Amino acid sequence: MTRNTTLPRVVAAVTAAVVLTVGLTTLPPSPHLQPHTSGDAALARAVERTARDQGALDRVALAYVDLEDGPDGTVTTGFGADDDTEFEIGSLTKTFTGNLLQVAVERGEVTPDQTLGSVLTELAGTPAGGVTLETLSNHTSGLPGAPVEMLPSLYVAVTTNRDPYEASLDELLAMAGRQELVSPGRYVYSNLGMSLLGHALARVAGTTYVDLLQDRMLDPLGMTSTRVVLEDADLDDPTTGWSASGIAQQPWSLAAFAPAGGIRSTVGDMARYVRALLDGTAPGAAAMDPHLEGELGAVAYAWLVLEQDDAPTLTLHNGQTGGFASYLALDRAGGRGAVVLSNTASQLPDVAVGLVENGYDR
Amino acid sequence: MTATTSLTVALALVAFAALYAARAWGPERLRLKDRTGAVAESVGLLTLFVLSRTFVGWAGVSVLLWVAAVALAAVGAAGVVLRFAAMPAWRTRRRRWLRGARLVVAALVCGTVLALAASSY
Repeated sequence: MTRNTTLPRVVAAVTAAVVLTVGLTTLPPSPHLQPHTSGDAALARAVERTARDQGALDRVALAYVDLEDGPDGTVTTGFGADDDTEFEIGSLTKTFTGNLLQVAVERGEVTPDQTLGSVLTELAGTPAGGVTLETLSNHTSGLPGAPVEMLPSLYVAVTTNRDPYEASLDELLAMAGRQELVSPGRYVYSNLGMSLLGHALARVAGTTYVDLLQDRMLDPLGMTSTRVVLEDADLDDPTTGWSASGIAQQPWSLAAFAPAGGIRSTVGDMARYVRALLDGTAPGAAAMDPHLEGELGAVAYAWLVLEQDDAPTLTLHNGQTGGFASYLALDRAGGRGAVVLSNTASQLPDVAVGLVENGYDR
Repeated sequence: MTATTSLTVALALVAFAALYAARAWGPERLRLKDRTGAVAESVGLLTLFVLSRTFVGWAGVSVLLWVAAVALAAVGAAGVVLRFAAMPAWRTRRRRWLRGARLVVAALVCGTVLALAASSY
């Protein structure tokens, strides 16, 4: 064999080896629901199949609270997660913002029918400036879900598995001032509206949304493992989130949209929140009382209240980011509640609602 | 992306990798005819791998499909390397502008996919 025929064969073999090596070391991740790893085994058994059927991949943590059982009535469990595993709770954040509105009303800092423009004076004279704080809280202000001009970049960011909400507060206010109202009085779920509400409440209190949340909700509730991180770069080793089909997602911080979905929390902390909501000791718990005109159960500050014919009235909210999902449901009259956190962007309503309505065999 | 879509893309990846291997080693009528085509199809297959890795969820799809595609691509790449020196740069001068236009469009598509993929990491 001559050098002329050997060299191409060697190069071909090396090329094939390189392709194989690179291909096999970049195997795509294939996440599956992890086994039960912490907390109550009976609770885990009760929900595992439902969680799997509803698309949970990788990690799930949940808490069930029954006030009738006294101090022992808080039970948690986890699949690949424990009470301290951090999840993005997404739009469950809105319930904190709704409660903050109630707190501000109780403190006399704002009135529900006060206009946004009277607080965020940059918006005075614009359509957004004329909406009331109350209508922002139940998505009837007429503001769109997100600023219209953000939609193209939002679509690209979601497609490329990135956080689509990167606007600063100044940019958020500038965009808000350019929005036209769409069908005011009708239910239009709005991250923009809830974000503006959170910043308006902070402005009135002379602070930032992050500090307002800390001082008026997280500290009183003892939620020491809950936080808002405004910049993705400030996150250290966050839990990886997955799309519903198993694509790894970059973390969402939401920047100025944090009041609509920026909280990161643990099931241990969220269990405290659920318990305090049920026993009425949570700051601004009256936010859950149905007292507004609204569609689809949007009759409270941020919370949805669903009346059912043959089942208890549920007070609830869910949340979702690129790689996480959350669901919190309460039967306030029955004193039962549940919250489920998952690092898959696939909703698990049957887990939370099933527990609240039926409990589980211990 | 649904599980069905994910499976479809994964199967397409295997099919294109098999075609690539066949065009490197297969019968004359299937074979790559020139270096331009060899480079274009190699880049195209690489782009499909990147697209499948970045934008397709594999939670409901067997990663054995990925392994099969990688193996076929390795076989194909070896064949392309072996034949590369013997191939002309362009197989014909006929309708050269049409082929050029198709390559430009393909390059734009591949470039866009690779840029989007790079921005997602």
